[in-house]
Amino acid sequence: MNNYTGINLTNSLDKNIGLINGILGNDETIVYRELQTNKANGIKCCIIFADGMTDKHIVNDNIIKPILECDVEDLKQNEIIDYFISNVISNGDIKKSKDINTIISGVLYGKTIIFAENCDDAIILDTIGWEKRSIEEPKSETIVRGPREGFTESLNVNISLLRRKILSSDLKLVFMEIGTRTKTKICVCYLEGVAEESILKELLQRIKKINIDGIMDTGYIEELIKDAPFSPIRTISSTERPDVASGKILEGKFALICDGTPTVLTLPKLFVENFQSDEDYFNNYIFSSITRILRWMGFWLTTSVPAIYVAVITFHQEFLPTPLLLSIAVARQGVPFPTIVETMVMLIIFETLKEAGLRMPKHIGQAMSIVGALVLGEAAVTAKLVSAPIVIVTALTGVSSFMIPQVSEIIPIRIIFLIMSSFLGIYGYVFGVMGLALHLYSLRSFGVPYMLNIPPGSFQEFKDTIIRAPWWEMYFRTKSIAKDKRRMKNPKS
Amino acid sequence: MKEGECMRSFKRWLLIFIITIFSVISSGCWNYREIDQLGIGTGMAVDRDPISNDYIVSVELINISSDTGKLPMYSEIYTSKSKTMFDAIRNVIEITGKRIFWGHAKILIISEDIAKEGLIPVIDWSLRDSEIRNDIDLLIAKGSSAENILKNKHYNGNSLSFHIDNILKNQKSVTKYVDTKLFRNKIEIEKDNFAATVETVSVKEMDNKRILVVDGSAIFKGDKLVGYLDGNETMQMLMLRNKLSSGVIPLKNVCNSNTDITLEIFNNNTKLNSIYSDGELTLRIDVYTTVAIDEQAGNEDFISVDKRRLLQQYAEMRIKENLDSLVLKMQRNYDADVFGFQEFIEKNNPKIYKEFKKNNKDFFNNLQTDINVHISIKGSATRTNTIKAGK
Repeated sequence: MNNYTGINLTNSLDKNIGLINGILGNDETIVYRELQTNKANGIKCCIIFADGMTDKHIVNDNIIKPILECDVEDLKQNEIIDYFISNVISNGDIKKSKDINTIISGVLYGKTIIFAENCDDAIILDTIGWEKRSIEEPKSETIVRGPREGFTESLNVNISLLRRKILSSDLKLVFMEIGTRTKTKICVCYLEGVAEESILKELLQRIKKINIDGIMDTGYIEELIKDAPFSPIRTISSTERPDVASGKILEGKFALICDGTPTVLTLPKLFVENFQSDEDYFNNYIFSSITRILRWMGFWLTTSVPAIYVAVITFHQEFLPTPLLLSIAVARQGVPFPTIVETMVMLIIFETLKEAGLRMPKHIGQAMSIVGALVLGEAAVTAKLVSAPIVIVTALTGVSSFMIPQVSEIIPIRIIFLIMSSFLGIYGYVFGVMGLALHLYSLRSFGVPYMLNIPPGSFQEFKDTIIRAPWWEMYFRTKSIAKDKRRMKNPKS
Repeated sequence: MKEGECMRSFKRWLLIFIITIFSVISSGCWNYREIDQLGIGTGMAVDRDPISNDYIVSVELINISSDTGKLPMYSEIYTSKSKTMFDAIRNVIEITGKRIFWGHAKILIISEDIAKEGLIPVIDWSLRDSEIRNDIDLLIAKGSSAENILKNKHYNGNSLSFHIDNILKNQKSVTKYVDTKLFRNKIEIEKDNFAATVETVSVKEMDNKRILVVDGSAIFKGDKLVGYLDGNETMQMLMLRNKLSSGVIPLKNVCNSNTDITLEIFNNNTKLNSIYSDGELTLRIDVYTTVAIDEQAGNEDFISVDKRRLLQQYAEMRIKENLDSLVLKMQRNYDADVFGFQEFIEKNNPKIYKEFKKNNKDFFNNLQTDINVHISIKGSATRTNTIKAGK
């Protein structure tokens, strides 16, 4: 990384241009536009900007045109810059700087620099205007009811999306830069007076410790600052939806927006967040509570069904009702592999199909579903490579995992449970569950216990965990996260 | 975290992982068996070889055929002999090639001659073994060898054990046999002053087919078989035991009216009461039965109020007659207290019971009983009147 701190601007326009040219090299996208005012003794100046990063209309109409038409007489040399800023250029964001680092990064970020003859200052103008994606509904988090906008890759757009949701002066933004080379802008958003300051302090401290050349996505930050780095459990949650992010900010949590990615981190994260969807809050609370309970069940199903199946089939045949035992025995007749191998293979095949479905070009999707569904499902059973119950188990496991897309740690849990139960039966499965529980309860996310409110000890703790309580019952924010606990006046008190 | 620290932490986790995995793998707790490698035992029958005095154990297994066309499963009987039950059962592996899984066994049939010598040597293994459920049904083969009952060609391929199990499950609506679970039988035969009963199974010839009939019960004194009760007697016994909750009472030719009536029992409550006066102990038995007229096969109307009264008296009389004769039969012929009378007296009048027992060994034999039957007819099912033929 180059640091230009030692280099200073001079009074000579040519030298200054040469300086920038020297640093940026033969970059042909950098435009050096030298011009001279028609009147005013013909002040010489130079406009530097990166082609493609700037809005050319602003450069033409708000900068070049006023300068050319500038008709002031008799200016002292050191007054030129200040006069330009106050009287000539009609652009909103305008700054004066001597620092060559700011100038260089400004040019690279789409800003326009103006040098003037005999001045050792530069004007930096915000003319950022590159092509960006329009606001669309995020494909990874679709809902039926609720706002359809999603974050984009632009930091400013993302902040504007949040601002539009929370029109309060309490919404504070802390800007930082990550990446010694990429200099990616990030922004921490929170509600002052609601969010806990100690968490903010801890978060900023962790971010400051990051020393990396560049980041492409918030995933980098997440892994660099999360608690329990070896654990597969995610203690920071992410979203592409402004309504989710602002909802969490209102709960007293922090959102971390990173330039260049639509994925926004929110923290601290609790285990219950895996089972919450923004739509829960928009729909009727009874309906939402039922779907939330279904999601808890889905979590249990997707982690445990293969393990329990293997345990019961190979260790505890007496658990099964007699007709079921017999029908499974019939189905397994002639299958060459042990149940555990069968289960593993089918689970791996399922994950393969899922991964292939994600990565492949859209046009060959149909071919894959035929291969996946027919060849691997139907034909494998007919050819007695696997038994029919295994296909059902795999399907149930796979389908229920889609119910909780937020939980990425399912696969390791599932595999560990499966291995444990293949050694020790239900006994092993119970050991696995105990191990998982111990691990989960030992986790913390920025000082907040990860398993907060599970199991709920009082009705208050029930309200937004297992069920979604009606809005008129949720007076409080989550304890241990928010500083200001009360969110709504209790009409009864 | 510094790099060295990171590595150390990683090594620590790796070590923990290896230790966990190895302690799990190398522990002795390994009982992995594939479901299709099991011989699923559904029932067994025990006989005794009259010459060598060995146990003959017949085991019914469910076999699974991989042939298409055939039934996917069929039952097969394997027989082996040995001095002890357990050895005989292990010997079956030599024939089947599969270890038998007893977790789903339903029935245990014991032959008459073994039952006469004592049940305990046979049922001990079944009660002790970890795989066999304690709630499998115990049956006594009446009139034929136990093996013969399992080897019944008529049911070609379908499991006989499941068939018998189904019959027993529907005991509640027939009540002509006692549903005897193995663990309950163990409790009963261990009692001092109680005669255990076990359901009996026999083979009946019907249209040149040999059909299984589960009917009646066998009476045990201690663990030895002493006699049998037929189906109706079993129902009466259940009535006196206060274990009856349903069933039917057929009455032939009620009050000489040429009309047969069947009463369906809805509820039966039998109350025992021991009355001690002037050195005499009498057991008063009140049977309260709620019934409905479920069938009136004849022209005479027994549904109208006054006639119903007649029917009630007739039914009470007939039931009392039956109960009296059953008690007398148990007292005189077998001296077997299948009703639990002695238990009741012991609980309610322990002092008197002790005294009587000391003086009189034939306590049950000489017990005075006073049976009163109270029937209440609550309706006539879905018809309120008599169905009469037009003239």
